[in-house]
Parts: sequence; C-alpha cells; structure tokens
Amino acid sequence: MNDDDALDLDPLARIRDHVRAERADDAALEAVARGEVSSTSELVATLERRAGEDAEVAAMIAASRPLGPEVEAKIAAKIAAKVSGAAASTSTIEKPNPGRVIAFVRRNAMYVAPFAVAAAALLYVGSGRQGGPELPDYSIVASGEREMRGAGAPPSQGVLELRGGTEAGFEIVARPATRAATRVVAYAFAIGEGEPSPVDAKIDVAPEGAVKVHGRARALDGAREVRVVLGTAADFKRFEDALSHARDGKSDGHVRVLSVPIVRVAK
Amino acid sequence: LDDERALLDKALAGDAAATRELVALLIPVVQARVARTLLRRRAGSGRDARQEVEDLAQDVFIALFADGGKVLRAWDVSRGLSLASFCGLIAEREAASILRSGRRSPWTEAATELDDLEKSLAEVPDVEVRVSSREQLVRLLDRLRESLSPRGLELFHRLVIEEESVEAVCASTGMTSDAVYAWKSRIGKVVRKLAVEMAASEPRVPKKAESVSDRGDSPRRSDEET
Repeated sequence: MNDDDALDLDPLARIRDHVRAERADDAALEAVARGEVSSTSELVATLERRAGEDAEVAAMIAASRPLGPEVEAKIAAKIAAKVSGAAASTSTIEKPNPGRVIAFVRRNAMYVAPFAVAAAALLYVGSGRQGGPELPDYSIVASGEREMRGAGAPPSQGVLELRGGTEAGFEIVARPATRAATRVVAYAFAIGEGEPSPVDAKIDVAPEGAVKVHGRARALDGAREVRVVLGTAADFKRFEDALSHARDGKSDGHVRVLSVPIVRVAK
Repeated sequence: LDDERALLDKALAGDAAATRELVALLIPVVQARVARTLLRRRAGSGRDARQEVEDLAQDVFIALFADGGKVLRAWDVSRGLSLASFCGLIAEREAASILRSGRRSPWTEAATELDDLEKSLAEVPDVEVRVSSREQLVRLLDRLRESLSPRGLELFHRLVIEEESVEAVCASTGMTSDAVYAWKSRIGKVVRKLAVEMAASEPRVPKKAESVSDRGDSPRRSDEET
C-alpha cells in the first residue's frame, strides 16, 4: 500500500507506514557508505540489482558511496573548532585564570605594530621530498570586512586586518603560481596560546589549487595568526598530519604552511 | 556500547583523536540517511548530489556537537537505541529540516517540552483529521520531528514507527507506564494539531482535482501513481 492509497488511515498510521517504507533501504545504503561492495554484501548486491531498473535507487547508491578520509578529517576539524570554541567561551565566563585572560584580551584590542612580513607575498620554494607531485609556490591575499566591501585600503598581501565586531567577515585567498598538478587539500588553523586550533570557517579549493578561507572574525578570537596548511590527501592521512605542520609552521615541497598574521585595528 | 559511551565522552571533551574516530564510526549512518532524505525529496534539483550530501552530513555533525554537544548528551544507551541509530534519527530530522526551510531548526528543550506541549495541545479540536497527499504527509512528518526534543524523537521512533509495546519502552527507559502512555497520547495530539494547522493554512482542493495536480507537481515514481 502506498501513501495515497491510505487516505482513510489516521495520520499517525500513515506516518508510520511512510517512514517504514522510506527506511526500507537504509541498512543497504549504510553498507554502501561503509564501503561494502556487492561481491561481499548481499544487501548491496540486492540494492544494485534494483538500481538497474530504478534511477532513484541508483542515485541513492551513488550519493552514499564513502565520502573518504578527507571529508571525515574536515568534519572532525570543524567539530574540534566548535568544541574548542565552546571550551574557550566557557573558560572566559568562568575565569579560571582571570589575570591571564584579561592580558590576552587587552593584547588583542591593541593596535598591533606592523609585522615584518606585512605586504610581502608569501612564496615558498619546494625543497623536494621523494614521491608524488610537489605543490607550486603560493601567494596570499587577506581581506577584512572593509576590504571585502571595497570600502577600505586594498587587501593586504600578507596580513589580515580585522576591524569591527565578532560578526565582521574575513577572507584569505591563497593562489598558486602555476596550476597544481594534484588535487589540493587545505586546512586553516588559528594560532594563539597553546595548540593550533582549526578555524571554524568555510574553505573552498578550486580545481587549479587556489584556496579561499572565509568566515567571521569570531572564529579567530584569541588568535594572533592564521596558518593555512596545503597539501594533498596523501600528505594528510590523519588530521594530526595537518595539525603537526601547523604547529611547526614549516613548508616543504609537498606541504605549504602559509602564515597570515592578524592585526586587530581599533575603530 | 560502553566503548561508544567512552568514545563519545572523550569527543565531547575535545579529544581530537576520539572526535575523528567518532566521525568515522557515525559517518556511514549519517551519510546514508542524508542521501536517502535528499534523493527522495529533491530528485533532479540540479546540484551535485554528492556535494550536497557532504554539506548536509557536515551540518548534521555540527548539529550533534552544537551547544556543548547538547543533542549527543541526550543519548542514553539504556533507553534502547544504539548511538548510530540515535544519530540516524537526528540526521533524518536535520536533513529534512534544512531541505525544507534552508536552515537548521532549533531543538526543543527537553526540560520545557512537556509543559509547552501540554499548553499548546490544550486547544486542539477533537475532530477527525485527514492528510490528503504524500506531500502533506511529508510536511507533517517534518514538522512533527522539528517539534520534538531528541528524547521525544526517540520515543516517537519506538512507540509509533517500531510500535514497541509500552511495557518494553518502560523496561528499557525506566519510565513509568503512565509517563509512556502520556507521551504516546501527546505525540498523537501533536500530529492532530499540526494537521489541523496545515489544513487551515492550505487551500482545500477536491480529492479528484487534487490527485490530478499531484501528478504534475510530485516527484513520485510512476509506480506510486494510482
């Protein structure tokens, strides 16, 4: 019985039948998402046979194929940013160490002196590691809210100037000198006190290897620098691999660590 | 299951390795639910389905960990659902909500849920309600899921979808039979209230004409048309 045949059933019974019908393929789709294949899973084999006659089932199978470790790492990084953000805000409210917190806040509010690296394009020359294509050199353009709206000075090539409140936007664009020979994977970390923490921002990677990190200033609370870590999926088998590069701040032929100091400008 | 609890606690405390392990554990169920919800509702929307599944899966995980992991903290293995099944329910609810309205719907607070439900249900007319099309049914289901807390969603799944007995739910949750019967009754009332609201806000269409318009607008498969 389909939904429209069941007009005389009460709504709760129709909901039950509808949900059960919708969930009929869930176990098989989960098996697909776990990477199981028809040769080892009868569930998957049955579903794939139906896919030959039903385009919707074929589309569901395609959409359920494993997203891969890259996506898992990205999700884990976003979660980590959320959890660490929550922890940070909690510690500010609870003030377990008031002196230290206040000093850090004050430092953020000050007009920071120009960095030596300001306005300099960040260029790295590959030092050569065995195996796999090397990444090209990269340059960076960083923009705060005003520059993004075209209301202020041109975007800085090396420094991210943050103005306004926590909802002000920012954007960091890393462009390769030449098209990357391999698919680029990117992470962004906020460097403050303690361990680098993943930035809760959107990261877009273009096919030629350009990377855009964009989000809200609140994602950079307490940070003095953003490190954008670029490499290939093979370079980052685990999230720690990217974290380790962010911690060290060192580039090599395969992994680029692009450092973007943050300057907070008083209104 | 104890391992799952320990893993979850570590992830909620910010342990990066545990977070990755948890994502790897849950992503098949989250992805499968999101993919099914998306494809059943949005066939031929034009966007790359895998990219959309990835975005929705990310949204589900963010929802799970939002507000200090409030939703995940609501999971209790002793209530009878595995962590993966619980997260599957959440994934369905989040994906449907985002696809319907373009944004996540806030969760009802469990602590206020019963009071709010009682107040809002006081005026539900005792009339027979009908849901006259598949689209209405899907909207009703989405709104019902959005109106429940994670605990309410679990009880809805067990009592209504799985048709578990009140005794079985009492045994695994530790709730009294009066409390479980009350929940069952409330869920029925919520459905009726939502159906009445939807009927009031949507133009009445004669059944014959409606079935014609359904053919034009619905993404149903041809074998569902009668």
